Amino acid sequence: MTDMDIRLTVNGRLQHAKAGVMRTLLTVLREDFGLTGTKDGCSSGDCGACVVVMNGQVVNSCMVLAAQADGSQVTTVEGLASNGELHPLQRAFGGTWAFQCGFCTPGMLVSCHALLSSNDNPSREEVLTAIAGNFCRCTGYQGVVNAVQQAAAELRSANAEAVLQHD
Amino acid sequence: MKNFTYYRPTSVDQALALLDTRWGTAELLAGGTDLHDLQKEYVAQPSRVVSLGGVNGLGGIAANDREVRIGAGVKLAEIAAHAAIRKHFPGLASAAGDVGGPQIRNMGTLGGNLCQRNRCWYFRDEHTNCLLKGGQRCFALEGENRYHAAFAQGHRCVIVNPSTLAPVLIALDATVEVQGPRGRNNVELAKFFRAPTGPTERETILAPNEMVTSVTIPVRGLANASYEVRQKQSYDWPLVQAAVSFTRQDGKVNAVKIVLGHVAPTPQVAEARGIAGRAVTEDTAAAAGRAAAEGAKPLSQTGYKIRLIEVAVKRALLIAAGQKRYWEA
Amino acid sequence: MIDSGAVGRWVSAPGAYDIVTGKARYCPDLDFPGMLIGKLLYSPHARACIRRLDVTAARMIPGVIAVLTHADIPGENSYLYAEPDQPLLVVDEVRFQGDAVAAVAAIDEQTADAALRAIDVEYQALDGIFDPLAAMQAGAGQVVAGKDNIMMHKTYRTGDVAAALASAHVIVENTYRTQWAEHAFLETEGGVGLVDADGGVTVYSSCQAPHRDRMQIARALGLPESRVRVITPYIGGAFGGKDEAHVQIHAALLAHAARRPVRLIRGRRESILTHVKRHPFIVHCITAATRDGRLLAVKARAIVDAGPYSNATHEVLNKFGEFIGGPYTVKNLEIEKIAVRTNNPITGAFRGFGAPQAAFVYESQMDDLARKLGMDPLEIRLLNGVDTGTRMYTGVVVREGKAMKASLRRAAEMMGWQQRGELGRQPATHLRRGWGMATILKGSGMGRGLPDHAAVLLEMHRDGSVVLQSGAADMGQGIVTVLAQLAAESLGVEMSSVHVVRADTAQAPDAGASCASRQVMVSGNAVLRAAVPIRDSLLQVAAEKTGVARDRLVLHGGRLHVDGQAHDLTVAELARRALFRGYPLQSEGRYELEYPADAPEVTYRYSQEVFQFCTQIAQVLVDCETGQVAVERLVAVHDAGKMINPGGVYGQIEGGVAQGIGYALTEELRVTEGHTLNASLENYVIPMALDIPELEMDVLEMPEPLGAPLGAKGIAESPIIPTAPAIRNAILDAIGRPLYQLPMTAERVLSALDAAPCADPA
Repeated sequence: MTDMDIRLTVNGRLQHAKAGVMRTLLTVLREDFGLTGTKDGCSSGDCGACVVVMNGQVVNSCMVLAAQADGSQVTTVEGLASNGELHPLQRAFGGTWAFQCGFCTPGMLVSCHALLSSNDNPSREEVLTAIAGNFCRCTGYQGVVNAVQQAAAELRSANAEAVLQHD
Repeated sequence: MKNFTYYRPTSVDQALALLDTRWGTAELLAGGTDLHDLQKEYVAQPSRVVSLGGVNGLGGIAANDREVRIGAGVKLAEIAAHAAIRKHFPGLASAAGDVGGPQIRNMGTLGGNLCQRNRCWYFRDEHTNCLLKGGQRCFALEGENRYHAAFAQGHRCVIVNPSTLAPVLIALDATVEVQGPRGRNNVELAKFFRAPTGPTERETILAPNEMVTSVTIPVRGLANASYEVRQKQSYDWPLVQAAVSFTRQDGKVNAVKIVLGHVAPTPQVAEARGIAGRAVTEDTAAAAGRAAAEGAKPLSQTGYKIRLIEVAVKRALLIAAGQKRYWEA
Repeated sequence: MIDSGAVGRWVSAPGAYDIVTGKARYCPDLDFPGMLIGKLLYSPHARACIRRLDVTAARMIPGVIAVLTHADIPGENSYLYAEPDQPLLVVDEVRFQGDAVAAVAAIDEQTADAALRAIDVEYQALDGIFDPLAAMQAGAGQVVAGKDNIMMHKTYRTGDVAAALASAHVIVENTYRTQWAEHAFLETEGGVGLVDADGGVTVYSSCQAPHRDRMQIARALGLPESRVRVITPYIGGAFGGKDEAHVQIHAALLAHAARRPVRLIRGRRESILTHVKRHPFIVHCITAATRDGRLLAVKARAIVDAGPYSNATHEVLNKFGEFIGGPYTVKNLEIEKIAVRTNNPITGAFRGFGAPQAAFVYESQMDDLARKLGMDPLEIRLLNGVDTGTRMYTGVVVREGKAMKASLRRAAEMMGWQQRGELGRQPATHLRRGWGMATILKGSGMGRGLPDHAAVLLEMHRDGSVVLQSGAADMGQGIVTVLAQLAAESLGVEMSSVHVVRADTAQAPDAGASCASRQVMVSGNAVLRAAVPIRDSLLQVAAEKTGVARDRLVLHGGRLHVDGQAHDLTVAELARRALFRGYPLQSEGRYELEYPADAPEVTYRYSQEVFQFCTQIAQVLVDCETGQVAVERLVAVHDAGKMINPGGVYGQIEGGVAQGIGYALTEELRVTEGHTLNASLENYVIPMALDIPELEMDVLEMPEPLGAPLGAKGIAESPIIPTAPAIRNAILDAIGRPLYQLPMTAERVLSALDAAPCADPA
């Protein structure tokens, strides 16, 4: 088949597109679904501007064929906020100058969000390892570390509160 | 990229049936971290792309006390994190955990890593018609070759094999299961690679209509490690890699295997001298390193790799022996 | 101005919400009804004649709407803002691997790609000229017919260099080499062109100078500037690499020809192959001093490989020469500047603009000198450092020079320089640690003799909300945030009440380019001026309403304050009243960097006089077995004049240092016979998250008199300048071996060690 009907769940919503085989998950997200938050920095998996979560794993969407993504669950930067409320990570990024031009930010946020979903108290090294595939030319990455640790702290205390309330 | 037809077989047999007897018409797609690039630059122009994502039987890591079998479709991240692999084959876990960055490790597969094409910048440039693309000469031989072979002797094409898992697996006596029209076959990984010299040859002995389905590593209690010298810590290919394995008794090592990566068109098995029957110390490891680098015939710009080989071997041996990592401050 | 407003505070960027939600739109995100995808066909050859160029087949592909060659350009087929000698589309000879030959616009990317491949070009490859030294020789073929290969050859002299050299007790003489460096902004070059119903053209441009782009686009289209509009969307980094025009003119040409919107975005490989690079230098430098370390003379000869076209070569080479003596009192100086044409990659502006190359030379010379004399590297720098009032070798008299030595002392203090004897220099047999410093200067502003002005439009509406129109492009350096802070504080409102419209030439006056670290100074001061009549109107109304004298009234936080106490009257209420009464709430503020009438003659033309002084000290760990260098610590002390946006200032320092580390250790374009081999982020090696240490930073605030009343002087460039020499000097300290070439790769460090494996630390 040269053209495929693909269906995927993006940020919790089922979407479909008709994708020529050469199209990537990145181009489908951006062009078919209008989710232009995820960026193309190199089209060859070297910069991480295109990072999304696919089936629970961070991937470079520029190198995933749309056909390969058929049937997948995808989370992009647009899916981090819930009910209009920014995720603590997004608030922390905005407040601590974890970006300058902002082009790497969507991919960076997704990588950091994925980190926090498996590590609620990451060290500086752990954050840097999680973003080792996210290239940023404007900052020196320390702002990202600060933002992630700040968000992690906020999430931990929110969880602690939730536990208390539950009790 | 050139247009193609996409197939999503559900079994190995179906996948094999879609391949061709000659290279170039059909390509296997695993994680996509290599093929996509090759297609984008028109280096690969298949009319058929066969996705392995839906093929049954390529996943899973099965471990028991005799062997560990890893499906060719297993992602590098899973290999790096797997308890049995970290326990028995820390060298493999470390090599897998150092490939690219988190995204690459989540996408790249074992099979793809072993079968990936080389990274030579002449090979990957659409406008350069090198030997491997049917041209008359190897441009790296007389050109910019700092990332190319250090054991260049007798090779018409002086690429380096880019897999960092291969040297470790060879040091661990791994075998690879190959399936094709002739059926199933187990091949020693040490014999799996070859030095291509033209468009009908690739970096492995696979025929165009064969594929890797799994890799099996015997559990023999070998100490093992991998060490890479890289230009930067985040997201880079190594300049040179050394993978080692050995048995240990009363503090002395034997059956020492040293396999070098990124120094030759195939993983380079080096002679392990100066260390058999002795304890691993900085001195004996250094001697082994020097011996491993002997016989290297570098190109005009890869002379520096000789020293790096010596150091990489030394450090890999020390890591495998559990010695202090003197190079970490 | 009042204290404790938005200025000097850690504030969020106005665009923060858009950026963290993915809503911010950059050129590649823009979409318009009927939009086409544009692409350019580039020459694969570094030098070739075009024998045949036939686009017929391409034009016939369904979905291909426009295919342009040089014959289809309505206006001038040339661009570059200073000296337009680069063709938009080549006529007969390609002169570097990135020369554009044709342009296509098609309904989608695949079709555009197919169109490119269907263009029939017959090249006759020619022997290129790739060695600048060979290109300089008489009898070398001409890179550009009718033009000398030597694009520029100028010498500047001051004092008596020969006499100084003759009388010197110690001389340090070395040859330095620096590399082509790639900006690697994450958003590649792009432009979206649209044609209005009445034939005007609008271009969304990922650029640094929208008004200048307008001029170039108009020229190429043969339109008056009044029919051209340039808008900057969000821009994903530039660092000087988008100062000159790139594809925006082509996007406009395609849109004009197709009569439909066209989006033209370069792919990454294309980008690396075709856009300007940092100039590579070969510098022979002689530094002479007395036996107690006082600098007597600097004599240098610099040869620059310019590529085939002029771009910013004159300017960069002149800037290099302007700073080659360093932030030091040097009375005798000679700098011979030679720029040579070749068929190598084109060169242009890159953060620092010649100053990083100069700093690598003069700060390495200083350490070599210090070693020769057995002097402390800190002491020799303090001994020679400039002060307020020093007359530089350019003739410039330093108005605010305390920052030079202050940054040195502060950096030394933060590093613990006096305790460097306690540094664990040999943590293992094959590891060596060392400390190295570099102190530098860079100017802000265009330089004396060049126009350096900006204007802004400011308006407050009846509800107290404010709109600011500035023509200053924000590429991530944060000028939008700074201007919003200044407007908010000047008008006494919260930052959230201020909307800064991203630069749009149809709405905003010219602010000049975002380059030379100038915008905070010129556009910032323009905002202060624009605010005056609006604030006057509001205070006038307030005085009338309250009956209180104006000097007891202040606007702050959206409210009137009387004698420091908050009053009921909000700024919004005052605005409503002011408009009702017909008091102006709209004004244009214009600012020009002016030099006092009594400012002494400057002998080096176009010298900058607002200095960014700064010092960086690096701690490196050298692995003597592999040659790898890790930067373990880095102290950076920078003078910002006045910090408007601390987050932005610290961010610029961090980002600049990260770029500096790459420039120092790993980044290098590998070019052979004019072909770039590593045109990817895989092979052009840039340090990423695991390679950058956490910096120790401090910012000095020594207000710039020339930039009064704002005092801020811009620090966009200084952070990248001292890093490479600081690391070089740290390596020297660690292994006792000097390096004279960038980048200081593991290979080069190993070569330096070859003379004596792991020499004992000095």
